[in-house]
Amino acid sequence: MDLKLDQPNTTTNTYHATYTLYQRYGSLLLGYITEVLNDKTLAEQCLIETFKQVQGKIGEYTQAEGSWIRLQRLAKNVIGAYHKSLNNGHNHLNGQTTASNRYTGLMTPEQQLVFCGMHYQQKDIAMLAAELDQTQHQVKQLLREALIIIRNEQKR
Amino acid sequence: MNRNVKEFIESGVLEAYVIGSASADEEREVLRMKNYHPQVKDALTELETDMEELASRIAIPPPPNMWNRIEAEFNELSTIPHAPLEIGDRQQRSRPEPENKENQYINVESESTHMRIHKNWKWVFAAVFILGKIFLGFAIYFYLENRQAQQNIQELKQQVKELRGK
Repeated sequence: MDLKLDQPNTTTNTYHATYTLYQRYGSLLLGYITEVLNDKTLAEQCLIETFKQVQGKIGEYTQAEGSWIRLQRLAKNVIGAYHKSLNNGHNHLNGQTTASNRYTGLMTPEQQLVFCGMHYQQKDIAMLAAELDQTQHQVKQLLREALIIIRNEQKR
Repeated sequence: MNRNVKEFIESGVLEAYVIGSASADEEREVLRMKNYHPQVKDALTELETDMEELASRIAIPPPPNMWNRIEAEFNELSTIPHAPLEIGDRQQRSRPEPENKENQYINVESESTHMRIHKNWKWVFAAVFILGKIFLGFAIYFYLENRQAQQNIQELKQQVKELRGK
C-alpha cells in the first residue's frame, strides 16, 4: 500500500513525515515486533529504536512504494541487533507465533519452517536450505507457497 | 506474458524480497525487473499489500505516551550530533554534554503554535503564580484599608465642618 508524502527537506518536515509514518504503521510494527519478541516492554523499546533510525533516513521510507516493507525490514534489523545484544549472539526469537497460527496451521511443516524462520526468526535462505537439506531454489518455492496460502486465506 | 518474466515471478525471489531474505544481487535484480516489467511491479505490489494485511491482523495500538518517547529520542539526537546509536545499553548510556551552547537548541522553522520548554521552568512558573497570589492578597488588603481610611477622613472632615458651624 502506498504512503504518499512530500520528500522531507527540513527538520520540521522530517518530524512530520516520521509522525505520519508512525500514525500509519506504528501499530503494525508494534504488533509484529511483539509477535517476534513475545515481550511488550522490549517490543516498545524496539519500536522507539526503529523510528529513531527512520528519522535518520526518512527519505527511504517516504517513497511512493514499499514503505511498509522497508519499515518492517528495518524493524527486523533492530530486533536482530537488540536480541543479539541481550542473548550474547544466540538467536532465540519466537518462532511459534500465536496470531499467525491461523495461517501456519494450513501450511505443511516445511512451509511453516521456512515462513516462520524467515519472517519471525531472521533466518536466511542459505540457513534454511541447510536445515531442510534442500536447495535455495526449493526454499524460495516453499516460501512462495506459504505466502500464497496466506493470501488465499486473507481473501476468504 | 514473457516467459522469462513469468519464470522470474514464479521463482520465489519476489517473496524473498518482500520478506527481507533476498541477497543484495537479488534485490537489485528485483528492482531492475520491476522498473522494466509492469507484471513484476504488480506482483510485487500485491505481495507488499499481502504483507501489510498480514501485519494489520496482529497490529497492537501503541500506548498513548509512545510518540512522546520517540519524540524525546529525536530531541536527543538533534541536540547531540553523531550520538552513537547503540542498542541494548540504554540504561547504561549517559548523555554526553553538548560541545557548545549553540548545539543545545534545535533550529526549526516551526509551523506549530506550541512550544517546548525545559521542565525546570515549571518551578519558576509555580513560584510566579504563588507570588502573584500573595501580591494580589496584599493589594486587596491595602485597597480595603485605604478605602476605610478615606471613609474615616470623610467622616472626620464632616465632623470638623459641623463643629466649625456651631
